[in-house]
Amino acid sequence: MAELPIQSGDDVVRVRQQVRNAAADNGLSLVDQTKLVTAASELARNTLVHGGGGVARVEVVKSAAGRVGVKLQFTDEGPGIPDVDLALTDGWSSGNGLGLGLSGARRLVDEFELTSKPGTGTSVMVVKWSR
Amino acid sequence: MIIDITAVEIVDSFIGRMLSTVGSVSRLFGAETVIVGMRPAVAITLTELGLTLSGVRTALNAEKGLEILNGKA
Repeated sequence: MAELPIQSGDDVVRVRQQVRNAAADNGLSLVDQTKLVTAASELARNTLVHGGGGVARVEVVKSAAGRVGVKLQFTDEGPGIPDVDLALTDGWSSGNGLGLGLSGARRLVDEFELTSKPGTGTSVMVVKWSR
Repeated sequence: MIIDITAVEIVDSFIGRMLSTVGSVSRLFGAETVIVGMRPAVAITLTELGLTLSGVRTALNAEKGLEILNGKA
């Protein structure tokens, strides 16, 4: 398991590289690698921009059925998300973005779990399984 | 204008918005923007992400992109 800080744009690039390596080493197809790295890029940027920085954890996991997957966890101690359902709506943005980052990232992965408490921070966990 | 993204491994909403902005601004100067060389895995991911790259046209490769621009000239 690797733990990476997210405090700058360069850190977002490093997270992307680490996720790409983990996905390629564990048998994800090129399309699935691209989907996971894109989701990681969206979530890492959210951690940086909205969470004021945080950490990313990259982990290789195995399902009960024996499938291998890559699990990512993004955690920040930022202001949190007051309305999670709204934040996951296509086109809704708290800033001046496109409003596709969070909702789009959810579509790109197999498992997605978002926990957030206003005032204490946000944590997003995603998994992409090899086929 | 042609932007060749052959070497680009991922396009997230941040890069997508940047490409759209470049297209919109250059249109104000009377120039047409064509994005060329998008990798298949990137195209599949973009679609699922929900990005449409408004403000720019796309073509398979630089040659096809030039055809679009020449046809308009």
